[in-house]
Amino acid sequence: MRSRWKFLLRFAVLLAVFELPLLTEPVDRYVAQPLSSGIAAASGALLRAIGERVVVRGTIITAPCFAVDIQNGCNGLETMLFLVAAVLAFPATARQRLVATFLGILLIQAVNLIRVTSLFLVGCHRRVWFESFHLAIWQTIVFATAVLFFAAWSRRAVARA
Amino acid sequence: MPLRALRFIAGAAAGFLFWWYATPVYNDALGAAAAQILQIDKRLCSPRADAVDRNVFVQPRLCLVSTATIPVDQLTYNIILLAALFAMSGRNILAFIVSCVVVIVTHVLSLIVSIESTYANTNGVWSTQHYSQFERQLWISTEFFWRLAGMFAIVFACWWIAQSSRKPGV
Repeated sequence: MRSRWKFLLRFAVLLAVFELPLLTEPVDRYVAQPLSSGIAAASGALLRAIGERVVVRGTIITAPCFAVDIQNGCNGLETMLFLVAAVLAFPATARQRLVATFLGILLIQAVNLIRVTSLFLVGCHRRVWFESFHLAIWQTIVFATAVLFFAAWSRRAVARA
Repeated sequence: MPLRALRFIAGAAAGFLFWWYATPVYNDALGAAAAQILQIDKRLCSPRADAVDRNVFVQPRLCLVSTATIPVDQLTYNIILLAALFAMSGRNILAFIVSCVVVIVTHVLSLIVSIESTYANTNGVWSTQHYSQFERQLWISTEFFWRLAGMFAIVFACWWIAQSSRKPGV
């Protein structure tokens, strides 16, 4: 029980250390914006592959029916940092942490790509559903992915130790 | 594993339905609780906070300050993840109830932070006259941190602690 509280304390400190810099202009300009642009480009390519006529400019995906701007909160960065904070706070070897961080980030970005693409389609074809999908449903799914990935990984890490 | 996945999905669906349909009533209660606490901030002139649709409408009563509309359902949807995680883990009813209480308290606090952040940063000259630069930054940073990660971190923390009677890991 005590180790769990210790873990949570370490997690909370790391989360604050990782997330608060996202508020600063340099981090936004040199990390968040390029990541958002990359996600917009990837989502645009995926949407074109399924027949949508979209144009990507920076962080904005536009089409005759709808447009989305990928901002902080929609690029998966805060979820990635959430997962990294949990992985680093958990007692494991450096190798285990490295593998978990790499795989976790890949998984979160894959889920996020599906999220952006599907949100665009929802906005295009069922506009009234967009707000609910945007926050309640997809934000929950992305964070649930991070929590479940961490839970599964921590179980394996303990079993191996 | 498939059973746990099914329970997770069922919990998420139940959490979503609760969040969707209970929001207007729940927002009223949250608004009333937040307004009570905000009486101590004299700058907000004894505000009322009433639920309107899925928002809370804030109205200072004792002086001329503009009103504010806070989309409260954006602060409370972490209840969906809470329901999903506890449904997946099984019959830990007491821990679930305690976690719900903790999360409800954070909902009241996050509404207070949102109201303060709105008045500190979006009311032009009034904001700069009544809030220092440090205060404005503090309120908006707290709100930002909470909306992006904190609201899910508290759910994760509750669930993680609730697992303590089980084997390590999950």
